[in-house]
Amino acid sequence: MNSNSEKGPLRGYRVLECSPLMAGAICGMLLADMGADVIKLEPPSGDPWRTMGEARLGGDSTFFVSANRNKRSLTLDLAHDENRAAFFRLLSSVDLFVEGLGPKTTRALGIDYDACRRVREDLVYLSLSGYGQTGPCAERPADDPTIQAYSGVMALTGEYQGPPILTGNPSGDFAGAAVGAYAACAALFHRERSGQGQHVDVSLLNAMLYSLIPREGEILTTGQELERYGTAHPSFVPYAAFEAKDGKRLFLSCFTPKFWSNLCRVLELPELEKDPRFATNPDRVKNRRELIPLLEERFKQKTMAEWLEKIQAADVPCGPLNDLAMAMQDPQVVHNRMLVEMESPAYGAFRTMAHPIRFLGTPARYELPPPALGQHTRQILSSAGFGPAEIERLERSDAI
Amino acid sequence: MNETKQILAGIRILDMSIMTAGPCGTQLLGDLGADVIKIEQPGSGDYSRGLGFTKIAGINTQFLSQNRSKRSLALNLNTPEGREVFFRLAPTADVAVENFRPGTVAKLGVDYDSLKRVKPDIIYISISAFGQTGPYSLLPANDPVVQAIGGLMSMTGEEGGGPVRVGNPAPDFGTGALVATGIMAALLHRQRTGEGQKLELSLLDTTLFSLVPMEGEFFMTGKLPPRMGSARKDFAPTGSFETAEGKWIYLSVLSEEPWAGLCTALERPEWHTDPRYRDNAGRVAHRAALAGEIRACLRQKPLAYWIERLDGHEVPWGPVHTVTEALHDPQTRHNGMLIDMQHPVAGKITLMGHPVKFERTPAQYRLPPPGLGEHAEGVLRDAGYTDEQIRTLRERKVI
Repeated sequence: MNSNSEKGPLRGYRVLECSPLMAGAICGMLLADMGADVIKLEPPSGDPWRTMGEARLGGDSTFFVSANRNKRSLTLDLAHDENRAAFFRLLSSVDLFVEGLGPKTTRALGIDYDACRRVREDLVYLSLSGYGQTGPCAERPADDPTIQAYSGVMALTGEYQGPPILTGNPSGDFAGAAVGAYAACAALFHRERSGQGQHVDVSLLNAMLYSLIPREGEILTTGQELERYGTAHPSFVPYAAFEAKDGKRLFLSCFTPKFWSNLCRVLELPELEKDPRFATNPDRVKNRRELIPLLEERFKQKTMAEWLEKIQAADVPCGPLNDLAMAMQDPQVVHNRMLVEMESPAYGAFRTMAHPIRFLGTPARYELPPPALGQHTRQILSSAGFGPAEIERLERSDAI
Repeated sequence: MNETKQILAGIRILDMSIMTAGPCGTQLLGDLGADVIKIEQPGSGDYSRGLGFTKIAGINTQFLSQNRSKRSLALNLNTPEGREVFFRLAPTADVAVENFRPGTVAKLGVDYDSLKRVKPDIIYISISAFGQTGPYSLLPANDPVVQAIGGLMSMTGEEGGGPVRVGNPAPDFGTGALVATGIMAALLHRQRTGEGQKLELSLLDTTLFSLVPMEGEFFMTGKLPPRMGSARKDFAPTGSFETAEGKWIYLSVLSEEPWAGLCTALERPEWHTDPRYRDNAGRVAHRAALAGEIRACLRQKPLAYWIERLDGHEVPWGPVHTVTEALHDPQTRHNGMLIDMQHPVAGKITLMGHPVKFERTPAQYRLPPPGLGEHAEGVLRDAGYTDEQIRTLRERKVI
């Protein structure tokens, strides 16, 4: 067994990942962290994310650095018919193919599921796309923000009476990646028990729709869209961010009567709890315009840390509203070791976000830095049975 | 070849998790054929049965949304008899899931070590808001509190405005999806080695991971990601634009091919030759001017007109749907993402479908969300309890 794959529940599995969609790269990284040998197949010009965006580390975009650790890189120009034989030869040594090319492209390249299963009958073929492999939008170009818009997630996010806005993170890419990783493992489990491979279709749209749960039930039942309220909630009050004396913010959510009465106690505003306008949650929702300014004024009188200590001690759900710098220094985040230091010849010392699942028996690994373009092409081809002469021929024809 | 069975046929999950994150994850596995036994507190059950404002025939939609494909067993784990029932079931289980506050399962005696004694290869998942240990581990929390602590809320909002809450329960969903991932990966490992293990997930860790790859620039430069409404800082044009009748369209131009496509689709060849907009860096530098031109253009015609113009060009775009529009959209329907089930009390209910299309082993929707304790008899009889024993347990309010 490859020594790089000793750790993690997926050790021994080989994955070929080819995805201009960011969701595919993140999905590949989740699997690679769990020990799978993930080969990133890039065109000779490189994965497009290597050069997207402003910030660069050792020549690569930080977007690329962030989503590609623990992988090996192989270049192969799939646009040329003569290279398809090489692709299929590689594929025959692979358990799982993760592609985010879109149905139009995989067909055009001659590497759709039907073509690939002829080479490897029990292949698990995971397609990640914006809308799905079939259906009215299947061939439409898509990415994270367009699917945030399409799925209704955007409609739930924004200022009061303002337009819908994006979630600050690429929530569609993450949703597709997480659901994709689940689907990949489930299909491999099925293959392990039955010997059968299959085509698995994961779309950002489906993943984002599932992420609406349980909002869709409320909206379908009432026929009413939920209003956007900034940090606040349409049907619980108080449930919002408040600014403290030092300009820092905290977020608290009172969704039970006990939380409200505890909050009034620690804010030393007993009159609010007795005020009939604010007695029950429906009262507070109705009279939120009167209540919120009173709370805002009170929060201005102490620092965020002072309030936080009191409110947390009263067992009311509450936390600092951290920017990313504060988040990464937050004592719980530090305790959870969510920041991983790695090193590479190209980048020097650099930091990435840790794997989100803690396997106590087979922990995630952080062994390989994101690969240089084509760094492992020769190594991968020779282990797939390509001889030195063949590799040279591919190199001469600019295939790799 | 033998008849194809569902992926998780024969796998049993004892699910003590409540609210959204755990149940969303185990629902996925129930759809794949796992026997998910939802263990709930007698009397009250899962909190989500009593939360929220929308009900169908007295049942909260929040509970209905996330609990199909499960059987319910009301079981009081605070009593010795309840624990005894639990440990009769434990050896038949492959997976156990819980999201009590950290430390509770040890007090109840249903922690990993106790289960491992009766079922050495059990896979045990503990879900929490912040982690099993650490300074916040015992604090109460819900989804948006984690959005706030994890930095997500600070990255979301209008340019020049304050932070905004992500409107869907993103940390809950993300944790649910990763619970399903973790269970499947651990089952694979067990299948190949015979070893079980314990897994821990938290909403906080999930939320932080869900920032990838937006955290990379901050890690390198210390520069905080700005709030930019519906736009993306590194790319232009990106954002929603209003059309003639007040509906919005989203445009996402990250590189040159879609830029050329957009100029053609909107019949604005002069944009494509404008030196200010010659590459993404130029368009980002002149973001406001460009957005102004696009806004003025799109305002002139209704959404349907622009859809027709844009379709067929290599430009990622999409209508900004309301949730209702998204749910009734033809692609959503085509993907099977809205399903109807018959519920014995609520009648016909509409639920969100399974997000993955497994071509050979599709998700199946056999069981509607259960009534509290609805499957106690079946579960206990399978475990060897006699009708009389079951009656006694019921009288003593153990089940």
